[in-house]
Amino acid sequence: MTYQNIPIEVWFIELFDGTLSEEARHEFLAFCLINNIEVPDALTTLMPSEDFLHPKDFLNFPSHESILNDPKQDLLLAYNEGLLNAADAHWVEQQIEANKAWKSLHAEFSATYLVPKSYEFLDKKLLYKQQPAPWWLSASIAAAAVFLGLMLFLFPFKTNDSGISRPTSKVNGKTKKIYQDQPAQPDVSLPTKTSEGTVDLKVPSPIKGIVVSSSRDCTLHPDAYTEDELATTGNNTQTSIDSVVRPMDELTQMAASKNHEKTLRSIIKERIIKRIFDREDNALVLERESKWFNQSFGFKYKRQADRSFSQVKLGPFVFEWNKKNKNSNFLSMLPSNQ
Amino acid sequence: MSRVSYNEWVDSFADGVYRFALKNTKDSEQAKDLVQDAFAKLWIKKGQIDPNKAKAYLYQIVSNALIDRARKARLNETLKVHLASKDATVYTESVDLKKTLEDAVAKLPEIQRHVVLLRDYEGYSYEEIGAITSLTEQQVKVYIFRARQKLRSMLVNPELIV
Repeated sequence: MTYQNIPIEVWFIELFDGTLSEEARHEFLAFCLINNIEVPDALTTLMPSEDFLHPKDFLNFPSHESILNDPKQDLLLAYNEGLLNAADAHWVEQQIEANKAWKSLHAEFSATYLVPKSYEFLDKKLLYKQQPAPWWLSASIAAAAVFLGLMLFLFPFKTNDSGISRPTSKVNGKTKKIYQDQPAQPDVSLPTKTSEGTVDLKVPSPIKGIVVSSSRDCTLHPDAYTEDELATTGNNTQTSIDSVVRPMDELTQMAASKNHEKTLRSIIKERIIKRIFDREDNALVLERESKWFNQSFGFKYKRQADRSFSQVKLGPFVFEWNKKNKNSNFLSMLPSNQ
Repeated sequence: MSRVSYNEWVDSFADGVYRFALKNTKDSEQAKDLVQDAFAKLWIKKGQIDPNKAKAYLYQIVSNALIDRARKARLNETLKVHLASKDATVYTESVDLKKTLEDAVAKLPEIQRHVVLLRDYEGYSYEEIGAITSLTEQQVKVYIFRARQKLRSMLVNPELIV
């Protein structure tokens, strides 16, 4: 690139002589109008009015701007930028050597050049594109998902009989022994009304003083408490339920009565919670509020090893249900009649 | 453009683009965001971009993003001026030419700063800078000249930086 700096006087002379091309003339006049250039008196008659300007003239960059610059500065800048040809560059170098003003100005312009300093972008790993997974892997995963869905559709979980769960895990002898069928405790206080009348329910090995009834009822039978036990618990009615020493998990909070008034029911309830948690450390304990019959709460619990097909684990809870018994609770406990 | 080529460009160009962004934003987090955005757009348009112009394309994206940000930031210009006035003594007392120059560059108008950084740091020609900044070669030249004159003025009179 060759640097050219035509002083504005030359432009005016060419304009006056009419040697400018039509395009150059228009550009120069537009430049003068837009930049309010003072025109020599002899040329004022040549200057058009502002109607001469087209909108595009305002958009065009004033390419003739350098004609207003100090030629010395322009030449030095062009020299530093390497825009001068060899002869012009040599002439500028001579001026820099000979003239103090040129030298000073050259030093000042030279100081404006930034020295490149390297900066490392440390997060390149975020920018890299990894090899995409092969198509056959994606296809295999999709096929497996479809197959699994199909299998679940064709062979849904179901139990053999109402109220009986099918264990999925191997139950060792010890566990089996623990979960032998037990004779149901008579529900004397709150008989379950069926067509036959009161029903004897089979329940897991009862904890002393507690009878967990059928999965549907989940009624509480306080009858087996001894008088001493009731009396002991009754004397402690000032104790808050929340103060029971055990992890304050969601279950405990659910079990806690909204009304802290110590009724016989709440006392029994507290006892049950305590016993279940104490005795069944590894047990999966579920509970729910029962609106059936005369009891407003119920307890259901089950050992971990006795999971059945009809279970769904959601977080810390395992929900299970009996599909055949449509009247059963969604969260009913199945081993209750074992 | 293959994935391998793209990753090679990350190795080759990320540092330069990051420096360009950092010098304009003065904020490493913003600069990182700009670099990531630029490479993300490059990857999206990988099929439409001439591989020889990938680097210029990255700078173009960052340059445009910086101009957009500058427009949005003008609303806070009053606050910036207020804060800058508090640091006036720092500038006047500074004897570090390099620091003063960087401060002066930061004071340049957006487009002038872009062309100077592209010219000095990346060594782009006027034509290449024009392609990146959507300017003509002549415009780039004039902008660079203007920027140099302003930088010289600010170096001679540091109080102009404030």
